[in-house]
Amino acid sequence: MDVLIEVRKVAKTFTDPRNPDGAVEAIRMIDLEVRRGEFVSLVGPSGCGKTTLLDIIGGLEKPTSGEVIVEGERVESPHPKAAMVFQLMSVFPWRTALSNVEFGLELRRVEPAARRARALDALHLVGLQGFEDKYPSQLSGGMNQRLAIARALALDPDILLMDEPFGALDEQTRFLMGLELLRIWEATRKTILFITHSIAEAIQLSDRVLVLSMRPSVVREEIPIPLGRPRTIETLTTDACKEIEHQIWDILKVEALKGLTDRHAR
Amino acid sequence: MRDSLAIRLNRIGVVVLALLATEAVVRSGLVSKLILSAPSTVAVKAWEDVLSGELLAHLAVTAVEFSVAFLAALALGVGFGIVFFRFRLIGGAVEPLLLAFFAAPTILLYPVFMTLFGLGSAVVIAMAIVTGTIPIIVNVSAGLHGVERIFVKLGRSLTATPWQLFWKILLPAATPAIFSGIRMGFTYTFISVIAVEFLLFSGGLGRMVSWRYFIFDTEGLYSGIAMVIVVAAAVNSLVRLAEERVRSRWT
Repeated sequence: MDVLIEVRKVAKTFTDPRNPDGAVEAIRMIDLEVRRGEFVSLVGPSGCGKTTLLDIIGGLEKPTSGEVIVEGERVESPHPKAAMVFQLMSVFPWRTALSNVEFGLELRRVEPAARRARALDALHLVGLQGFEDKYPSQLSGGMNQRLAIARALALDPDILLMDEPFGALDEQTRFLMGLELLRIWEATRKTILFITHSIAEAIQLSDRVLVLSMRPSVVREEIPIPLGRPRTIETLTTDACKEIEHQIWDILKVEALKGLTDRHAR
Repeated sequence: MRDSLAIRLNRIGVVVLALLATEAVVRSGLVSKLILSAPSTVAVKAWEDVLSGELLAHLAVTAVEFSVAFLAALALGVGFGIVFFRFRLIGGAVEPLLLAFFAAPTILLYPVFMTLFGLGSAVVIAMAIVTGTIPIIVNVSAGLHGVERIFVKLGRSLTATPWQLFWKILLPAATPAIFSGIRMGFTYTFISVIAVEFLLFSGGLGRMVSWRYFIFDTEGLYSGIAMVIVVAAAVNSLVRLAEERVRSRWT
């Protein structure tokens, strides 16, 4: 399988020109690879630089050193090979569901008939058929996140970069959205890089889980998830699954505690 | 949210009660008829004003002055609001000054404007533009600044051009705030038009009221004030309706 995303020795330090002492080292050094069609999760304590890493891969931020290569090309700026889905409500309240999904295509000047057809397909794929003319305020939080996913899918990118997309949802909705995402992933075979701080969610979804350290972040451990697919409630409650959860939690606990004591020290 | 029927009925009740109380006070002779007129006689006078065409003539003057001033305030307000948002070195410097200036009644500048623009409609319009533009500038700029950062981030990740970022994300996202500014600008423009008309002799509803005040035509005075209130309320509720329509979708 070919490698789609290569992160090579990426480091990121945020500097403030007005305050040279206030530099924040977000990422110390990260190397990772994601192969075509893979579902990889990044798990780490909050504030560990996960979002920064995803922004760098998406071309929204530049690394201080190192490079990101997507499909053989070095990433310098936002690129159409990847579409991003964010945690915060990012659908536009002034556009209908359909028009929200068309948005990315509209920016890329796809002609109206074609973009409408692609948006309808994407809405169908995320299970929102029949809600085309509803406004986000008329939809639930879970449905709005589906909308954001549909907007990304309508662009037909090879890669989905998802930054805690279900972070704001309640636990049950979150679990069901996970199953939905797996269904969509299996139907489209996109390559997905997924950020979460929920260990259970990472195990539920991924082929591999990368556990990040506290800031400045490095990859602490790479953990393959050898559970079969499709993942069901049964596979997710086996002893093997529990053991992986335990293993990840042991690594994460150390990092999360570091974060806590850091905060107390300040 | 719309007010319930009970609240709206109560509101009408308050108005009716106030009118009845005034009627009673005037008829009882407690207050001189030179100071206060009975609502019933004011109503008759107002009807005569409508029939005689006097009201219409003044209303026409006010309508023209207001329309010109408001459209200019709208164009200048939105334009400068965008410029001040875009160029922070200018906006950051000027906006606090505008707010400070706005806190003082602009009517104090009337003597300066009078010498610059004369005693006709020009000075009415010029002062109304100054008064009406400021809240629009400030709200447009603040509204654009207040746009959720995630929307901008999304736009960048979708490789939006600066032009697309502005027209398809920033401007629609800031629309509710811009509308608040427009409504404020609308109100201030109207108040300024009437107030400056009141000081001048060039016609308009403000002049109609001040003239009647000078000649001790108390009923006519109240008829004029009632007209100003009716016009203001009617136009304001139109703007509110438009604003509610926009807002209902955004929230």
